[in-house]
Amino acid sequence: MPIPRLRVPRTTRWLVGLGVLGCALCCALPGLATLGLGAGAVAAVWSAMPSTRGTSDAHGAAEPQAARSTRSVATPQGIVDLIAASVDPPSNEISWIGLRFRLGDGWHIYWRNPGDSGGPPTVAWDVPKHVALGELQWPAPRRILLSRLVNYGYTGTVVLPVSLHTRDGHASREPTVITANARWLVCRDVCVPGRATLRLQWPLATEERASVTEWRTEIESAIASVPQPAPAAWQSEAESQSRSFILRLHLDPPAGAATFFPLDPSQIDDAALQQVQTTGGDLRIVLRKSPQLVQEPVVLRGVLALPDRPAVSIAAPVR
Amino acid sequence: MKNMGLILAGCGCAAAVCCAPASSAAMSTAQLGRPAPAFEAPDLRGATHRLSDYAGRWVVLEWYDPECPYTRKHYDSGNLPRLEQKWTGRGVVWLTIYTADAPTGQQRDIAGRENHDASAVLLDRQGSVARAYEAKTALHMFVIDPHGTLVYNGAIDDRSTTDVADIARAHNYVDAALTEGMAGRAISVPASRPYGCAVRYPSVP
Repeated sequence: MPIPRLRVPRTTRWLVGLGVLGCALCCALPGLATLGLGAGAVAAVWSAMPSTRGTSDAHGAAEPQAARSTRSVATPQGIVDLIAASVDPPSNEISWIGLRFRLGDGWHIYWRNPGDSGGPPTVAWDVPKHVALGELQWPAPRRILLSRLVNYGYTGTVVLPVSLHTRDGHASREPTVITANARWLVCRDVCVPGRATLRLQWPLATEERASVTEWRTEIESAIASVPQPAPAAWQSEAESQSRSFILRLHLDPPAGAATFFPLDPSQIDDAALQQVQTTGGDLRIVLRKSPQLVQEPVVLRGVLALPDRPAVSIAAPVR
Repeated sequence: MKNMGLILAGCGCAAAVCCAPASSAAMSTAQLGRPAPAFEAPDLRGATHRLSDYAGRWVVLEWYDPECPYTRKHYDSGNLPRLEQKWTGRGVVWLTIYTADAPTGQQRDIAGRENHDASAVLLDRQGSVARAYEAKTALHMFVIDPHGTLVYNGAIDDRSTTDVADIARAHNYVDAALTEGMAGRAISVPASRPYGCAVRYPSVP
């Protein structure tokens, strides 16, 4: 049975939302209040001058957005929203949506392997039965340097694309609502956890339809940035030595430099310098082993970033 | 975007060389199965503590940052205070290490108050203890046996989130390591990826 579409004025939605939030807080007071106070204390710390770090009793900005179900949420660290590549609702053709983070200066979120600290955004999706959603895709990350630590993540604007289509030959249906219960950690000198329930609904609102062209460009760019498997001809392999893995590949065309981003934690030391040697098409990277490495891996999986071409994903068997 | 990534990677390599020479010099001093690195640091009252002071006892090192949401998860829930009380009650030396170059009076007060059941809160102002152990995050945990051997290096538990609800569902690696170690059994999980906010290493002058 189709979900009836209510046309509710914005202020009424706010009041209803606040009322629901109030009820929810009363019922779940100990846990939520604790989390809210914790998040609030951290958010309050962030709000203070960078040179002073005190704690505060004030509830911060992270929790109030949690109850609102809306396409976009603004936090002090940036805007998090759901965008769509198409004005049409999901059909049996594959289409794409994206979870977009537009972060303020100095803030970063994390890749699926965050590196030395932090953690990646996670989403618990709620979709109609007739819609099938793919996995969150991860554009190639950057190395984010802290003193003595290295994280893998994103700054500025990043879109995590997700594919969708309808099952069993269902035709496009309206209304269709996709809900993302998103949680993330955004850090600068301090870390602020965030959570929001974001909703994308077809038919899109008028102002949303006007944005789709721009959103499609951003989503397509994000899809293009997701590393694809390296050609088999590159013959990646890793040699395990006492303190390091030696990653070897044969690149065609040759590359003058490379950076390896491990997919799995506790294999390599994320902060260690990666010594790269290139001889013609042969690339050799020395990856120091992680202090937390206990069991030798059988494969070194990860992303190889190269100059002048898209990053690729590799899975190098370890000998 | 790809070029930016490479530039950042290049800067990263350069920075790793320029800004962290000690990390290549002190390669893996905190190695499982080897003597835990020596350290010396003052507690909140100014008394000096050395690892050697505790020879013959089980020692836990817990990296701490009162403002990190992962730390808050374990303190606001009472999880870490309970662990500190449980294990110090069994004769374990629990040292909470606060690496920060200039903690305020208020931060020191909080550290002391919420680590009331720890053996001591040590102030690591120069980051020398953190460097010796290659501590990555607040909540990076180390367990040292009575022979001074490092037997656990990693996370507090297996749920690397900021969500208090995950504590009940989590397997606590430190609790398990102490239980197994003190019963004379092999430690089933001697290492894991430490989680938390980055340790605030003071800038190298």
